[in-house]
Amino acid sequence: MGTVRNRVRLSRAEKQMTQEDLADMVGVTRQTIGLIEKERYNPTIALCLGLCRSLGKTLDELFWMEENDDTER
Amino acid sequence: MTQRDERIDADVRRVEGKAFVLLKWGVFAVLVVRWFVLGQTLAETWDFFAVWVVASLFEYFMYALRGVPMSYPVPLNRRDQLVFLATVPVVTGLLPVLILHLRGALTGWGHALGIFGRTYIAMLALFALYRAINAWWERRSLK
Repeated sequence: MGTVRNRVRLSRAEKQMTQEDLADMVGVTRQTIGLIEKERYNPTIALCLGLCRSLGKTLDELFWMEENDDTER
Repeated sequence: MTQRDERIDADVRRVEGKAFVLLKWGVFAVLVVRWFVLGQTLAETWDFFAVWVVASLFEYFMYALRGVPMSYPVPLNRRDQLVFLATVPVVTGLLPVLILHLRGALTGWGHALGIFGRTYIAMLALFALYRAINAWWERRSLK
């Protein structure tokens, strides 16, 4: 499977929101938003949809899959 | 060859989590019965007590290492945090003093103050350690 990438930090900055603002809107902690932005935590589909709604983006604008390069194997 | 399934993995973790809670509080219940019903001493129950303390401290520090806020899932503002920090160590310090008093094992005010002081400081140290580990996790993971 590939790696899930996202554009949450950029979209949040466009909306001039802090991590805490976004966290309050979607009902998680500021730390979890930080981990998602760093791509160190893959949110559930429910949280992804909450983030899309809060940031005014569609799912594929905010999240996408980057295939791992397995050609060396 | 193994084949992982995210739904099954999540359910296995959930079941293991519930089993751990059951074991942790089961051992605690065993200790309470042995101490307060059967009248056994700490020396007689050290094996159960050691397992319980190690498991509890492991859980506590793993939460800190994984960046779980100390009061989770209750969000605390600055004032609530100060109230929490001021009251929990005091209550924790008073608890063993009260238990010893009810069992008639307190030898005087000095003894009571010594027990309270040690428990109070141990609790503050645990809180400070948790906060420091949390701050380290945040620097490492989010910055």
